[in-house]
Amino acid sequence: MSFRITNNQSTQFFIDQINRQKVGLEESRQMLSSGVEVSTPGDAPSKAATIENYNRTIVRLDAYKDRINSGISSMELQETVLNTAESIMLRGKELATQAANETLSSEQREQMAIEVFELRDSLVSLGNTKNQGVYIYGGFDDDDPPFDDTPASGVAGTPGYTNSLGAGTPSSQRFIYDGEDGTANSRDIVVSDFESVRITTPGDQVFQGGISALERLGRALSGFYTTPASSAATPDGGGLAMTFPADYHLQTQEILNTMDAFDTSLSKDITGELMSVGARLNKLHDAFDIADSLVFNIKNARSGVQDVDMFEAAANFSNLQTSLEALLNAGVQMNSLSILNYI
Amino acid sequence: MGSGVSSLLDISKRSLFNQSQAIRVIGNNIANVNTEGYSRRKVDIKSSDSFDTGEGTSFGTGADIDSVYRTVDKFINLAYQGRIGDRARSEARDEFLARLEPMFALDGSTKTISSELSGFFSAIEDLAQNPSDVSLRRNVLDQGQNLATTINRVYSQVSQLQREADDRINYLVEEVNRIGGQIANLNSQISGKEDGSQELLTARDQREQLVRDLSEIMSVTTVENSDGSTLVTIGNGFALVSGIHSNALETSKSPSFAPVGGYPKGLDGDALSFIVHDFDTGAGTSHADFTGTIAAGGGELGGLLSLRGVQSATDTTAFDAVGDFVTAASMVEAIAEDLLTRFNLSYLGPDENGGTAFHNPSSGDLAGSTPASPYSLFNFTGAADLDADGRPDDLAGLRTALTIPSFAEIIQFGVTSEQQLAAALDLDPAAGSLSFTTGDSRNLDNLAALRQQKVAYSVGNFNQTSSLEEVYDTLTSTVGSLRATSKNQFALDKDRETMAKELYSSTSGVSLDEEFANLITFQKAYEASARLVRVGDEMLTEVIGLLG
Repeated sequence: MSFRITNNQSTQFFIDQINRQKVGLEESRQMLSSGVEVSTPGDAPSKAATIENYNRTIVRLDAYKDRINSGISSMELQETVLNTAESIMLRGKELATQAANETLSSEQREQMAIEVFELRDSLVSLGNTKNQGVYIYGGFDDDDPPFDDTPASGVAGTPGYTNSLGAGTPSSQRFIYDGEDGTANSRDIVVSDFESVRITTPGDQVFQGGISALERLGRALSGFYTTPASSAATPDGGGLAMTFPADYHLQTQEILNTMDAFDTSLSKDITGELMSVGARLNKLHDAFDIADSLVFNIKNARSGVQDVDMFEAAANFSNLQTSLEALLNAGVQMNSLSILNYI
Repeated sequence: MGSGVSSLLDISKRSLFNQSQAIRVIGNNIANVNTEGYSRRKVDIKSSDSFDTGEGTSFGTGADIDSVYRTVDKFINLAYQGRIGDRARSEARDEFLARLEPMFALDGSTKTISSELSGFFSAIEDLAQNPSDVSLRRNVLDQGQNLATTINRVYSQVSQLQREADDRINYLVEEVNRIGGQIANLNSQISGKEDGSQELLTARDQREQLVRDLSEIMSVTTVENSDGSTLVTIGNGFALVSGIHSNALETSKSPSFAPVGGYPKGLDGDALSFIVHDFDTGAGTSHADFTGTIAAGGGELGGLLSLRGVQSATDTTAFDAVGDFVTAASMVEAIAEDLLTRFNLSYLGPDENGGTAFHNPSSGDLAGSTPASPYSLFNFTGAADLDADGRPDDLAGLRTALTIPSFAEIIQFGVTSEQQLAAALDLDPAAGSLSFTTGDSRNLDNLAALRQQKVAYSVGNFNQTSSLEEVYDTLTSTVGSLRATSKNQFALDKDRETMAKELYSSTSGVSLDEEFANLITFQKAYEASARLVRVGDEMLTEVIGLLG
């Protein structure tokens, strides 16, 4: 039996083919207007997980970049703080050298103490620097300044932060790192999936030596011994008063004693920290560059997987359009054929 | 010779009748050109018995209509019926999966579980930089709530689709019974009365069309009995229609074969329907189960059941059923359960008392308080520490104890105020004494680190060892490949159905061109027969004239 084509069949063919062409045309139009070839997982199941992974990685890397940037700004601020601290300490050492000269009278020395104490106060306020509301040198403890001359409330056994002599003058002020819970910790930021960079250092390691040295010097210039006797140790609040002129030479010796503390603070604490900050800043810049180029590469890769090749899509679209027109023409002519026209 | 003329008249009279009957059949074909299920009729005209003179000569006596028959091919019909079932199955699957797919958009057009997970972790890591910042804390709260609501939304959309499929299954079973009854009714008209009359031809057409309608709903096997009735059976030999009887199917949510305690509920907490047949055991009504058989077959019911899921007697939760919606829901549930257990436990911090039976939290909020419950970061209504060990419970046990169908549906973010978020860990090394500082973010760091950790997930039939986000990747690929497959399968099955339909139409359909060509043939034959009558008439007149 030969194959028969009924009228309904040819009409149905026609309708089915138009529908198919139109669906294809619509899909092609959507791709062109959105620029996206894979918009739902069903478009390309094998690529779906990859695209999800790319999307997430981009979000994660962008977050790293934001955090690295905030880390960089904190470290740059620390660089400035440390540079200022360095010049304060250099000035302190200079004053100590001048004061050790025995051409000065003990009264003149006492005058110099004013500047020394100012330098100390400046160094204290550098140690209490805040970045975005957080004390940089306070570890996790961000509710009170790390360097304080008032005892922490409610901490049992904490001695009053004062020196025993020179009441009412800067000599009696004793600034030490408050040592509350969390102050020994440092803050890290995660800069990649596998790496984190420390962005803070507990303040006692950076400033305590310098503050103590300036405090000792100031007190010596003001006519007080400070205990413990070792200039490397943090003052414990005790001391003795000098009597002049009997103790003049001893005062000179006490001033000279502070020189070592200045050197240690400068070369070890401040310069050391400055170098460390520089190294960590470099690390952050590197991490930022890596994250940035990763984002760029992953976006490219995602685009390769997910986006439409516009030239191909446009060519496809016009192809489908032409074939739909041809189909409509052929279909209308085909369906107008009828034996009735010839009887 | 006289007998010759009258026989000529007889031949032409019958020919006139035959041709006009044939034209009538053509008319009927043309009238039914658009009737669904109508099979083209053909007239079978046969030469009449010849007249033997007894002298070695025989004369023809014209022609008679032997029969009017339907042009059908049983095998083509069967193939068409099968293709209709395949197409209906993949069409139903594709329609439902197309509605599931947009929840997993890849182009950022919808908030997905993945984008919310990223948002939540980013918020936590941002806060870790400055844990006392209230606006960053607010951000964690917002992102946590978004994550929980997105999980709720995706899960409940999947469970709604399952419920819709179940409702549709109930309706379709009614349809099956209606069609079964009609087929039985037509069987009673046809059986034993096969006489080729137009009425029975129409009844057969209608019956074939009903079988096709039935195949669209579920796979059936049909056999024609010797008395002309059709036996309709499903998969395992159950007779849906036998002779003039039809056996009804029913849906039951608590069938007699259910295990003790009943089947687990569906994803939304309501029972799922089984397709059963009631039979009387003498001691009451019992059920025969056809759900699995129908699910494996074609038709819309097969498609819907394969998505909705089919339960077995060993199932203990909604996630044990075998079906595509259940698989997708299991993965969403795995994500929710992970947040409720592993994340909650990590949020409490290490045990303050060094791993004692009771887990004492070592994490603290801005007020220095530890989390109050093992479900502090993520929780749900009715959350309880049943074994009172201070840790989030084994959720499988909790699900049974609290008769909770799913945690994904009810998970919520447990932290309600900025201050309450426990970012700090204990700084005091001594067990039993706690010390927190507001600038400490170590608890958040630990939480953020969990996202990279690979753990074993197991919900229902879903088992995977991976990170949390990779569970979502699996979910996306699963939904994607289900949809892509259903789309391709539907296109393929539709093409195959079209081909089968073409073959069927080619055999049984009406072609107007052909009918008109035939019309001319029979019209001419009618004219010729009429001319024969005139010739006979003239001959008879001539003979009668001789007598006068």
